[in-house]
Amino acid sequence: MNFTAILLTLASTMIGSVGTLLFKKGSGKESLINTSIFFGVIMHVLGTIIFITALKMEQLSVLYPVASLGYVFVCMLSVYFLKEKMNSLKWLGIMTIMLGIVFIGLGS
Amino acid sequence: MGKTKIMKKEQKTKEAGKTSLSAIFLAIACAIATSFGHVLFKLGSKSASFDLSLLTNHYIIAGFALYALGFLLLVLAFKHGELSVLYPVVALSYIWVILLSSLLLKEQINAFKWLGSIIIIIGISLIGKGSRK
Repeated sequence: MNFTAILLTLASTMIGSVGTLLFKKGSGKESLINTSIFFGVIMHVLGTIIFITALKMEQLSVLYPVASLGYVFVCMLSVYFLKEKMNSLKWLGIMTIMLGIVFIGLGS
Repeated sequence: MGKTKIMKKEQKTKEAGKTSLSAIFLAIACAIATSFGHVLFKLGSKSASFDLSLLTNHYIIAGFALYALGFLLLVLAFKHGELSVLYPVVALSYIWVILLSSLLLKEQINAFKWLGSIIIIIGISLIGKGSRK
């Protein structure tokens, strides 16, 4: 398992999650062409380029599950920044995703 | 008779959870498009370097194109569907990626990777269900 690749994927995922949050923020405005959406796209493109760099070093079937932490990041970010509510189902989902990633790690 | 049944079911789903069949199909199409995009990125990553040559890398360009398509499909899907239903559908992309990785990229897939992917899908579905207003 290439840890540099995993760290890069984590960075890419976190940046992408910020982008997703910016999309949510920008989706509420009157026009879809606004600064939030623009920076959201920038974040996603940047995150993707970093992910491509990670893909040079490790298998897709290993790195893609790591990217699933994006769901966890988005969940936490939306609670903190968008004041969305956390509940037991979301917590359970987060722990389940992490368990799945552990299994992927065992399988590589 | 079959058509009326499907229409009635779609109306019921529309009233109950506001997620139409078309939204689900759009989400599936999004999952497939982005999964192929990931595979193309993997294929293009071998010759890719952190400079403008990325713009001439056919695999990378195709990958980005599929990403853009997937994104559009996702936006359309979420217009007519809820997170709690669509998240699991999009999460199925994990199965697609595993399948495509083994078929097109010749990566080793074993029981752990399959199991891990299924567990991740369950986790994403739970987050989706927890997002129900």
